[in-house]
Amino acid sequence: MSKKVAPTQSLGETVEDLHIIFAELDKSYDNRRPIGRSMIMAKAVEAIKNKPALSGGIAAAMKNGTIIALEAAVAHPILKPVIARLAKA
Amino acid sequence: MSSQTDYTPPKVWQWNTESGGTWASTNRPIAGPTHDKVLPVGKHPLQLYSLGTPNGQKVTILLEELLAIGEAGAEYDAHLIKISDGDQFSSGFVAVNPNSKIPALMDHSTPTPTRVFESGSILLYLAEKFGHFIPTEHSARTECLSWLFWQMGSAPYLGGGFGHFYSYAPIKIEYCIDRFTMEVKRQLDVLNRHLETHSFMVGDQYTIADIAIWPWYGAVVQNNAYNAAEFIDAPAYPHVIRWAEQIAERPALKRGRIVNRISGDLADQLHERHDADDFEHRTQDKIAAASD
Ligand SMILES: N[C@@H](CCC(=O)N[C@@H](CS)C(=O)NCC(=O)O)C(=O)O
Repeated sequence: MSKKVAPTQSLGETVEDLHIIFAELDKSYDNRRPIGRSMIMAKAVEAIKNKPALSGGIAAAMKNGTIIALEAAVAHPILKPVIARLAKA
Repeated sequence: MSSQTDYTPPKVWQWNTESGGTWASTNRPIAGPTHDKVLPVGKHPLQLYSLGTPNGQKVTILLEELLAIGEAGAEYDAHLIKISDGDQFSSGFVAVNPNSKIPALMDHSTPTPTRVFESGSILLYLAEKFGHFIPTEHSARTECLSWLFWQMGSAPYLGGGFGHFYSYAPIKIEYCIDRFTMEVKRQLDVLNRHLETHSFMVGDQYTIADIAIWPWYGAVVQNNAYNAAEFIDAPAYPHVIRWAEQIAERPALKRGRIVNRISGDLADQLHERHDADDFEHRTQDKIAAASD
């Protein structure tokens, strides 16, 4: 993820954005199959990176300890690996 | 590890024409033509001289992709070059590619015909000529070219190294198979890590980088090359498999990959392509059925 701190959005907005992204992806790919999970993971990372406010919101949640709450609120099986990958970047 | 210690290199290497192996009759240590032959020229602006190997497939896949999005100028004749018969050493072929390897392209739509050789150069030439399958934005374009050049530099380890020693060599040499398997697995891990967070090689855009990489690395993980998917533990590269499967569904790719192919299922062999409807009527299964 970009090291530049983007204009940050609230936790609620971040959760909502992620809900929308995963809901879209779940329509196109089957998250019970490895192929579908791989596709959702790649597309989700791309979508997050393309939205600086959302990237900023996730980065802020990682920093201020609300990431667990964010993961629980979004409740999508691919979010954890996505966050892990973004944390590494 | 088994060792081969009975060979000491001589002072000056000599060409041993009896060296054996699948490609022994075509490999030689000298360049240039072995015989005079003029290449055929069909009716389309682009004349491709090729064979349906991974390097050949790259070009026919791109041409079919260009035609699929309506680039009529990408119409082409694909002439079969049988490398096992030495067609790549004809004077006509050497004039198009002094390196005597498929694929080679002549573009007759330019004021004087333009020759293009090396599959990566052909992909770049066609992508730039038609303005598709290469990003215009500078950093994305750079990423695309980085992966294109990565493929050109890496695939010889896969084909010339791993494929040669695992599949074609007349004797199985553990040292060579180990060396190239190690490198190919490292390359697959490079791809796997990248594709974990990218739907295509250059983010969400399908480009000539994917078109270059798929026929080699996609083929290996989908067990379409060297029968080696199990040996290299293909399931360890799930993101490469996902990417390969997703691309394999593209109708243009399905057409492009069978052009100039002379092995595999008869339905997957279109020895020469001169018209779009050759895919309907001229695959080897149709030709065999018509001659029955
Ligand atoms: N770097 C070249 C490699 C082409 C190449 O190795 N072509 C092989 C078939 S895939 C060939 O024509 N071999 C014939 C020979 O070596 O005589 C490219 O990408 O175009």
